[in-house]
Amino acid sequence: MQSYHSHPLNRIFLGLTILVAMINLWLIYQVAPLVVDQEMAQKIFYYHVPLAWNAFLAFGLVAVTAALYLVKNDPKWDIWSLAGAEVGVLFAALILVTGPIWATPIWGKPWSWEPRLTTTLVLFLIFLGYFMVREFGGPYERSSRYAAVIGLLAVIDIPLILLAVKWWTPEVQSHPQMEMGNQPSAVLYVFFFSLFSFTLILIHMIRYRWHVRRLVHSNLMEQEGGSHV
Amino acid sequence: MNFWAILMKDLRMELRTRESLAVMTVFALAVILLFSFAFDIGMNRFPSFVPGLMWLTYFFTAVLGLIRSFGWEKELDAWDILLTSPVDRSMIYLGKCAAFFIFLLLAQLISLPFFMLFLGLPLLAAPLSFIAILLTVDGAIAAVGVLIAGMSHRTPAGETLLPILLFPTLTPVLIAATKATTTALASKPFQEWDFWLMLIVTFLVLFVLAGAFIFDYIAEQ
Amino acid sequence: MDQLLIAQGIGKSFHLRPVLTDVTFSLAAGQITYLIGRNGCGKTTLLKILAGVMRPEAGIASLNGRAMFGLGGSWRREMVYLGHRPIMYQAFTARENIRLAVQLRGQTWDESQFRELARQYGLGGREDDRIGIYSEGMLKRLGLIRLEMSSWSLAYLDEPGSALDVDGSLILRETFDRWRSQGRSILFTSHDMGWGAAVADRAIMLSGGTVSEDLAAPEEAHLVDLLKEAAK
Repeated sequence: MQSYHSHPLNRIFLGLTILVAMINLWLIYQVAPLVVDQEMAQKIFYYHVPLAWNAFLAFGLVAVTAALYLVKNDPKWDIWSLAGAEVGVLFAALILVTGPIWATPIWGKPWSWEPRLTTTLVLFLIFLGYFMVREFGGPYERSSRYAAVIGLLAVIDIPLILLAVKWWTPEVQSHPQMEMGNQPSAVLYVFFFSLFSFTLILIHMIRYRWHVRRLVHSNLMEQEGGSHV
Repeated sequence: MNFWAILMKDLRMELRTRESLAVMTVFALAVILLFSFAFDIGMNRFPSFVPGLMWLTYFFTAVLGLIRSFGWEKELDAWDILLTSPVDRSMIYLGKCAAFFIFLLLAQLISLPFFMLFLGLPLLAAPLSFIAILLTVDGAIAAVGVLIAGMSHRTPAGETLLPILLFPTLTPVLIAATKATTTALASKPFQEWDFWLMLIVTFLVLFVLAGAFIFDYIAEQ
Repeated sequence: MDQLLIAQGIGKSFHLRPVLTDVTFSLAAGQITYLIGRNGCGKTTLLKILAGVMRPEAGIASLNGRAMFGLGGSWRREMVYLGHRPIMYQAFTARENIRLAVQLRGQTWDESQFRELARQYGLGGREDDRIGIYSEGMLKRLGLIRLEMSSWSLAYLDEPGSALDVDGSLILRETFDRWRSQGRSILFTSHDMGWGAAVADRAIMLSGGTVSEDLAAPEEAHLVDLLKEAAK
C-alpha cells in the first residue's frame, strides 16, 4: 500500500500548498491595509469567507458524487462523497468558529442568527446525522446508499434553510460584513489570493482523504476472516 | 391503482390495530398537559411561543407515528410483499406518505382543541388560514418523514436515527410553520405571511419529487 | 429450450466482504432447480436479489427478456418470492393478506378459488383468523396459497419445506409437479437433500461466490459428496 505522500506529484502539490499558504499569511498581515472601523478584526475575513467557499465546494462534491453513486452503483463515487463530507464538515465547523470570533468585537455578541452562519449550523447538524448513518446504518453497502440520500437531501435543503432563516430574522443584515466594491484594491487582491490558497488546501485535503478511504476500502475487501463483519 | 392499494392497506391496518393513532394522540395530549404546567400559562392569554410549541409537539408526534407505520412492515418481513410485487417504488412511497398524512391530521384534529383550551391557541381567529398551514406542513412532514423512516427502520440503530435526521432537515418547515401560524392567528392580512406558505409549499413539492425518485434506491435491502 | 431467467455476474458484499462475486447462470421454462451450498454461501442473498428485495452491487439479469433491477417494476409481474418468513402482515387475516398480494399484482380477486385452495391446503375455516396466531407450518401453507393465486412464470422459494409436516411435504411435492407441467419454473433451496434431489430436474451449487457445479438430474448421494467436498 502506497502512502499518499510517497507519490512525488502529491509531495510537490503539498509543498506548493504550504508555500502559497505562507505567502497568504504574509499578504494578510503585512500587505493588506486595515479596513476602516474593523481594524484587526477584519483580518479573519480572509479566512472566514474562503472557509465558507471550501465548505460550499466540498458539499457540492458530496451532492454530485452521491447522485452518481446512487445511479452508477460504483463504490468509487461513494468514496469521493465520503471524502467530501469529511472535509466539508471540518470547514463548516471552522466557519462556526471564525464567524463568532469576528462577530464578538464587531456586533458585540458572538451569535446573532446571521442567516448564512445559521444555515451552516443546520447543515453541520445534518451532516453529523450523515456520519451517524455511515457508522450505525448497518452493512457498509447499504449505509453508503443511505448516506448518499442524506447528502442529497441536505443539499436540496440548503436554499430553503437559508431563505427561512433570512426571513425569520429580517433585522439581521444579510451582508453586514463589508462592501467588497468599496475596498482598496489591495484588500481585494489579498482576498482573492486567500481564496486561491484555501482552494489548494481543499483540493489537497479531499484528495488525501480520498486516498485514505480508498485504502481502507480495498484493505477490507482483501481481508480474509471478516473481522469487520 | 397501486397507490390506492398501498394507502388502503395502511388505513385498514390502522383501523385494525389503532396503534399509531392511539400512540400519536395520547402522546400529543400528554405533552400539551406538560407544557401547560411547564410554562404556567393562564386561561385567557396567548403567549407568542404557543404556535412553536404546537409544531414541535407535532414533530415529535410524527416521529412516533412514522415508527409505527414502518413497524408493521418489519413484522414477518411484510415489506417484501410490496417490494416483490410489480409496483413502482415511488407508488409505495406516495401511498405511505398519504396514509401517514391522514394519521397525523387525525391525531391533530383530536389534540388541537386542547391546545385551544389549555394553552389559549386562538384557532378560531383565522380557521381557514390555519387549515391551509396545517395541510401543507403535514404534507411536508410526511414527505421527508416517510423517506427518512424508510431508511432508519432498516438500520441497527433503528428509530434513534429518525429524529436525528428528520429534525434538522425540517428546520425551514418549523420556522415557516411557526411564523405563518403566529401571523395568521393574529389576524394579519395574507400578504404578511403568504411567503411562509410559499416556502412550505416549495419544500413540500421539492421533497415529494425527491422522495418519489430516491425511494427506489432505499427501499431494498 | 427458451431461457426464462438469465443472470450475469451478480455480485453482493456485506461490510465489503463479498458473498457473491460472479454468479452467472440461466433457468429454462418448466424447470425445477435446486439451489445448494453450505451455510452462508449466499443462497438466500441470491434469491433475494433475483426477487428484487435486495440490491446487488454488480451484475445484470433479465426475466423473460425484460431487464431486471432497473427503474420500473413490470419485470416483477413474472415472478413470485416466498422467503424464510411469510412476508405478510401480522394484523391482517389470511384472506386480507392474500387479497392484498393479489391486488398488488394487478390481478382480480377470486373468492371461490381462495376458499377451494384454503380447503386443499388444510386451512379451511381459518381464512378469517389473523395470521399473528398462525403456526409456522400454517404460514408456510398460506404462502403457498399466495403463490397459487398469483400468476407468474418463475418462483423463488427459500426453504419451502421447513416447518411443514409430512402431509404438507406431500402437498408441496404435488404442487411442484403441477407447476412444472404448467411450464412454470422454480428455483428453491432446502436443507432436506433427499427431498430436494427427488423433486428437482437440476441442481446448481453456490461456492466461493460463484456457481461451482451445475448438474442435471441430481442424486442425493452426489449432492452430499459435493457439499462435503466444499466443506474441506
